[in-house]
Amino acid sequence: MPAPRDHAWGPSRPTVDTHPSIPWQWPRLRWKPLLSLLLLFTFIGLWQGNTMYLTMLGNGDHIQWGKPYLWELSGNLAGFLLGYLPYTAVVNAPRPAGRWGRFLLIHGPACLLFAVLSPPIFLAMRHGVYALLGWGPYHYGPLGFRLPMEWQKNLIAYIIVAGGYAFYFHLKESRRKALREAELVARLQEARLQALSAQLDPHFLFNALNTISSVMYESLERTDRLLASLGQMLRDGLENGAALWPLERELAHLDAFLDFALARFGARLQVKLDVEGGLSTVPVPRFCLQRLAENAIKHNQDRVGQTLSLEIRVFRQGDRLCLVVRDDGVGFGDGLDEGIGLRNLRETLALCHGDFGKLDLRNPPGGGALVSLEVPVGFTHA
Amino acid sequence: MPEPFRVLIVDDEAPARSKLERFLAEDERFAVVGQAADGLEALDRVRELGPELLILDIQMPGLTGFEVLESLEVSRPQVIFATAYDQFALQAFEAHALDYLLKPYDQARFKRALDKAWAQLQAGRGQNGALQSMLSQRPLDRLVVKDGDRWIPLPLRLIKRLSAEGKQVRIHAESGEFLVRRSLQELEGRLDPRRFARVHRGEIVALEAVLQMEPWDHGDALLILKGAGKVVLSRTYRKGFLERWGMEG
Repeated sequence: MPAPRDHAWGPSRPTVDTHPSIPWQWPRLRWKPLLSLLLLFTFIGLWQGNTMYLTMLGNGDHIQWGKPYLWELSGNLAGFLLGYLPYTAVVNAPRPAGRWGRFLLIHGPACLLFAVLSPPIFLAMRHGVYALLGWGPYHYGPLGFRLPMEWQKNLIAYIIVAGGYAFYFHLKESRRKALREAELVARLQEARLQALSAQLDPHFLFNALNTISSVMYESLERTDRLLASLGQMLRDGLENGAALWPLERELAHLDAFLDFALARFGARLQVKLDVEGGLSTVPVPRFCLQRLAENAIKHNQDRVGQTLSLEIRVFRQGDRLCLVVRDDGVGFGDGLDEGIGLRNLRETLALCHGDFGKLDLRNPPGGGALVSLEVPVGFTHA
Repeated sequence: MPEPFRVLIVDDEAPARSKLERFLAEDERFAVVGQAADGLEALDRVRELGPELLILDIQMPGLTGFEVLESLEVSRPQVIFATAYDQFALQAFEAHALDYLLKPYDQARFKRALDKAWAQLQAGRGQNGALQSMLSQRPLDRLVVKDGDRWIPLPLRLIKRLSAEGKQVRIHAESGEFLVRRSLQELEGRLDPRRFARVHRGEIVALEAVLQMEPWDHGDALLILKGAGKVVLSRTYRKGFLERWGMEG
């Protein structure tokens, strides 16, 4: 029975943005990684200086030994100082991710700036050190050849540096993801255990046995049915299943539970069940409806001499399955206090459906309590 | 054949009541005079029918079996307790060597309990001392008070002050004042000491209700309560009260 969107029971559908606009970020600098990077660039500079010095010696050039080191070190230091450009670019555009325009718009200018700003910086260093050490004037050579040489070198350097950052972020992200997944599995297991222990609640078990031992004197048929229901509930509880199971199993479980509730409370409990067809395979949290029905009964147990009406509705609304349990009892107290059962259910929803699962409690107009649960139809994380 | 003893069945489950009725119908020593499906109804039925034996369920809507017994002002009937699974109740029974039925029970077990009760009734024994001491030591989480001719359970969090008044205690609560036939001494031992403190020979206050303390004379002080007047804090109780009140923040 599809309900209209603005119906009192109807949840509103959230909008899903697949391309969320990420705000531009200026990454913060931290001392430790900066120092390690400085060391790395210095090391590379010294290594290139060595290479150049030995090459020149091999060529028979007579040269002041410090000069090749200065040239290479100053070039690498300029790269270090301008490293903030590729870093910022990678933070804001780690991957093209199907949006090449944005990717190039960020990395293009960053790369250009990186290439263009580098020569003035290292030239200033070289001139300074030459003057300081009395090495005479520094000759860079004709700019017409020199600058294109630097630019193409810097283009490669930019790609290597940016690629390094991107790789680092990727590693960090995948480690975070693996951790989150491990946590998810652990918490799911915990939720399962809690569900299990709640199911084998000794209160329920002994009350059920007592109900059977009383009904037995009145009707063998009803006793038989109750025993089958108890068997079903114990099997469901003992089964080491997932946090979600198909709606049809939840309904069978609910049915077994209601058998006992109705046998115990007789005319003091009225249950109306309304389930839309064609949804039997949709995954729902284990024991969700049963737990909600049990909660409603438990919280209204102290009302003396009054009938409790329970209305359970399951229906589809667009791509969502709505499970609504409503009673005409005392309603939620101030602050809509949640017990362990509701908290567990909320946790299971968050773990299995993320933002797509919803649990809503309220005191509807007309009295009583209303709990509505929403899960996506045919979509889960777990 | 002597007159059968009059039995009242108190249980919130209809099938359980009819099972008991069936068992009792087979025993000529007893006659079922009525049934009650919750604690408040049980109180009315007891007053109305004056049963000599109660078959009493512990967990019930309204009032628990213990609260029903405590609220009975007239002499209490003999009791056979029944409970499915309640560790607190079991501990209390064990501690006072009281007999009880664990649900589900069979006819043989029930008959043994009946035989015992019958022997007690035959001997004309009145109130059971062990039962009395169990009831007066059980920690309270609410008080059953009489409002006109209705009984209502009053949660302790609504109680601000308890004052001795002759052989009774006046309960000052948000919803009004009630008299209960108890001693302040007994109540003090059964209230949560983190929430209630004796401040005077004849006064207990809820720590939460104390708004401020003013000096009085001879080392006594005056406590101003939220909506429950003023109470003298006597020197004797001063230290104990301040420790707990301070802890309350």
